[in-house]
Amino acid sequence: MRALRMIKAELSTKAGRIFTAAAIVAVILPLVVRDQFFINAMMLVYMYSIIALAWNLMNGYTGLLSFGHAVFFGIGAYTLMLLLYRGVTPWIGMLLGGLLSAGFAFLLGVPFSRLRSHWFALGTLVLGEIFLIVFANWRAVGGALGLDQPRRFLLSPPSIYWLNYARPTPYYYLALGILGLELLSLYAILNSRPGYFFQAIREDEEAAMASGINVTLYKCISMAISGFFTGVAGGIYTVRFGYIDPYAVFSMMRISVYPVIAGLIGGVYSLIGPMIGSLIFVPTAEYLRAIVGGTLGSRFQGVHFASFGIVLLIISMRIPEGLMGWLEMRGLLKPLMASGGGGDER
Amino acid sequence: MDRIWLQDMTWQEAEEIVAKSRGIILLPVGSVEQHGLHLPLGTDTYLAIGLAGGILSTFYYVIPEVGGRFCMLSFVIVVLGGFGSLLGTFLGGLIIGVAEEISAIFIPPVMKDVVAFILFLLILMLKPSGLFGEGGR
Repeated sequence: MRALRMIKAELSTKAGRIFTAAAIVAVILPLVVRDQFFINAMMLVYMYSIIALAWNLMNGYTGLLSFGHAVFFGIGAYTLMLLLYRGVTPWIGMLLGGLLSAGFAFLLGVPFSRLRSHWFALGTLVLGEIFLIVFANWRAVGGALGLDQPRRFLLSPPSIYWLNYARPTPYYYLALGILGLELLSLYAILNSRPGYFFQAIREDEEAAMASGINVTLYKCISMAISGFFTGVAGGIYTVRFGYIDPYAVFSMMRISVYPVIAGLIGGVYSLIGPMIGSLIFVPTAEYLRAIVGGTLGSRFQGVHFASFGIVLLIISMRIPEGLMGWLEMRGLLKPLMASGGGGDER
Repeated sequence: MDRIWLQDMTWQEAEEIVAKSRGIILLPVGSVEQHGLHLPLGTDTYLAIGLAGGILSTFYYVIPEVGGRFCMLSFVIVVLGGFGSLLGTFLGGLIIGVAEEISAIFIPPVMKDVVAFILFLLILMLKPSGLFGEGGR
């Protein structure tokens, strides 16, 4: 396996060792830290990282800027919840949710591959709004009130089959495991033929077409892979919080715009950039919400959002290439994991 | 800010409420009068109530997110009309407004924005430059 050999080579570099160490720390973290709030925040980091990485496959690698990932997220979340009502285990629900999302994303790619750059962004933005309005008024799936976990599911003792724990640790490992799988599969994809096709499409669509790449098909594939992982992330959200409503899972601000921010902070032209972005963004947001929101929030509602907006403004003005790009440009970091920015392993 | 019907109260209750409230009280008053055969006798009263309600709405239902919907709709309108075209934007606004209101007859009125958004997607796909705009997608 070529991909496996390449991963092995990556991990033997200095940056690769840091990455391995970070992965080990992530695995043993819940055994050492007892702070449940922290574990929950880290679980959210992984969940958002999954979305951000999936989003970046489309934006950073295929050149499709999406503002509508909440659609895929919501489809995954609703699929799992509706299957729970039929007594299906969340594991299958999560997989089916991902597949349904992927299928939808693939079909969506057919008309959407006609759209370029900001037109694509506008189209996805509007699509998210359509889904929000439709689900908020669709009685059969709970309407604006959303869906609660089935009662018998809630009352049965915690088990790995139903994934109905109260503490965040099992979900932490669930999200971490899926994030690991996603990283590996994206790495393998990006270093194989489709991955190079994606990047060719990003660089120049006409040239890619002239080179014999089926642009529409590969855009659809890129969207399907992205949709799959985002849908699975939606499933994680559902099993963790046990309650979904359209304003949460189809939220433009909290789901769709989120990976854009993570990409902005971490850098979009590297595989793990959005993950680093999430690692900075989510804990900051969570703790700002708990501390600033807790103390000043009663007087100034949403003050943590405002303080956050200011941080983002500064970042986008000072380091537009993202943290990873900034580090690479200063030679502080060799490109970790071969990326669109030109890895040293290829 | 409550809406209280004066006619449902005794005068003691009305007095009490007036004494307790520190804000402005809008008291719609109208005469009972016939206005042609097609209008009820209370027309003047209803007009006054409507006016009071109108004034109320100018400072009643305002939330920070209220602009979001208009923001999206104005996007839709500008793309429909075409970027950089004043006439197109004007006509786009007319088309979207009429399309939304007509569609509200056939589908639940809360869903009428969906019609505007689907129209927007269709324009993006079929004629990305809009009705009067220049340039491609």
